[in-house]
Amino acid sequence: MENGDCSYRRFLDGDNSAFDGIVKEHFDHVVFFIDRILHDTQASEDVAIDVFAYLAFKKGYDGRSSMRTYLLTVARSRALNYIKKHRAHPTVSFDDLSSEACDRADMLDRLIDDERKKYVSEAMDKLPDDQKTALHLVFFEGLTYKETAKIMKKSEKQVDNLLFRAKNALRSLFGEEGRKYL
Amino acid sequence: MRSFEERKSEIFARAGQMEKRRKARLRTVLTAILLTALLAAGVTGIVFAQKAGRPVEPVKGQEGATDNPAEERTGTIPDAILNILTGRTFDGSLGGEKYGHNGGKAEATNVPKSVFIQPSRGRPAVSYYANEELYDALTEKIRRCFETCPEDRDGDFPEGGPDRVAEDVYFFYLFQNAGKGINEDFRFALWGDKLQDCQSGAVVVCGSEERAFLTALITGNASGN
Repeated sequence: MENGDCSYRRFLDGDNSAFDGIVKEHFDHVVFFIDRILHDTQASEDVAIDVFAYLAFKKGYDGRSSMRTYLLTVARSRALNYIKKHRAHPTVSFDDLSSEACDRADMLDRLIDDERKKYVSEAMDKLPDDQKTALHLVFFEGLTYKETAKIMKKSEKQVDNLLFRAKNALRSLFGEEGRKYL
Repeated sequence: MRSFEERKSEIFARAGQMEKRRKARLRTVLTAILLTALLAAGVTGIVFAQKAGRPVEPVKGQEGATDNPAEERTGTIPDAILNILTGRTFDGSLGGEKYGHNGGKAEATNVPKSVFIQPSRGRPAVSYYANEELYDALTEKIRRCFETCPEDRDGDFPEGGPDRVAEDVYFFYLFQNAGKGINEDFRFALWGDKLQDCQSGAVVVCGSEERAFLTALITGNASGN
């Protein structure tokens, strides 16, 4: 059983401090994932807080999947809701843009220590959303196809296809020089 | 980005808000259910009250009817009609000045030789009208009264001639079901051998056959033939 699961059980038993462990372990990953969808680090953090609040309030995690998979599933759903809600009124100030760039750079530094992954991560933003999400979950979160399919509400075969297309797209983006990253 | 402590406090604050929203939603749903239940109970109560105030009794000859006509016409209005028919009392409440009767004064002693066709909340009347054959027979008889004795008309006959009478009878029947008062419901009165349209004031003299039928109808002995 994963650490998140044990902490969550303790949290359910009334130990609020156990929730700290969950937040510490998963929060940045959730923000990173949401940021892939929203392209807005502050909004992603906000949505991530909602995801954890949902976890604390709903107490709906049943241990059938890993805690990370559960959180990312909720995160994806919340992120898509966020897009639906805010599509009509996108507001970004110049101050936000500069701090946004800093926040993202910080987050990438914290989460990706591998030069190769950083290179891929930047290139991924040019891919379609589904391919980007699938690639992120498999490549950055290290999830299996099955877990990825569950989060994306797709079949494993569809995830496989998405990854295949994403890799091809990246290959053409990188050119000869970038082939070594893939 | 927020610090860990800020995140944590924000997470629990939002979880608290979610809990509050859940409770509010629950309250709203429960209130809606309660109101719906109250509304349903109210409507049911009204329907039952209406049914209780307007019992339908089987027509004589139909399944469930009793052999005793007096037993069939229990209730306020049938009793009043019965009183008139049997000549026991007459308190004027069914007639009144409007219909050219004795001014609506309580005169228990002088019983008029009249029969009121009272399409009222009284059960016999309802039964008669609920029975298509009797209804048709009644309509036809009244129509014939006005047709065969046109010279005796007194007042304005409803526009459209005798056929209109049939319509009016029917309309009248529906009308009384809408819960109007007794006097407003009054449509026809049989005064000895004179049949009066109470609404228009028209009066015709009935033949003995018609009068016998109408009387029998009121007393519950009409067969409709």
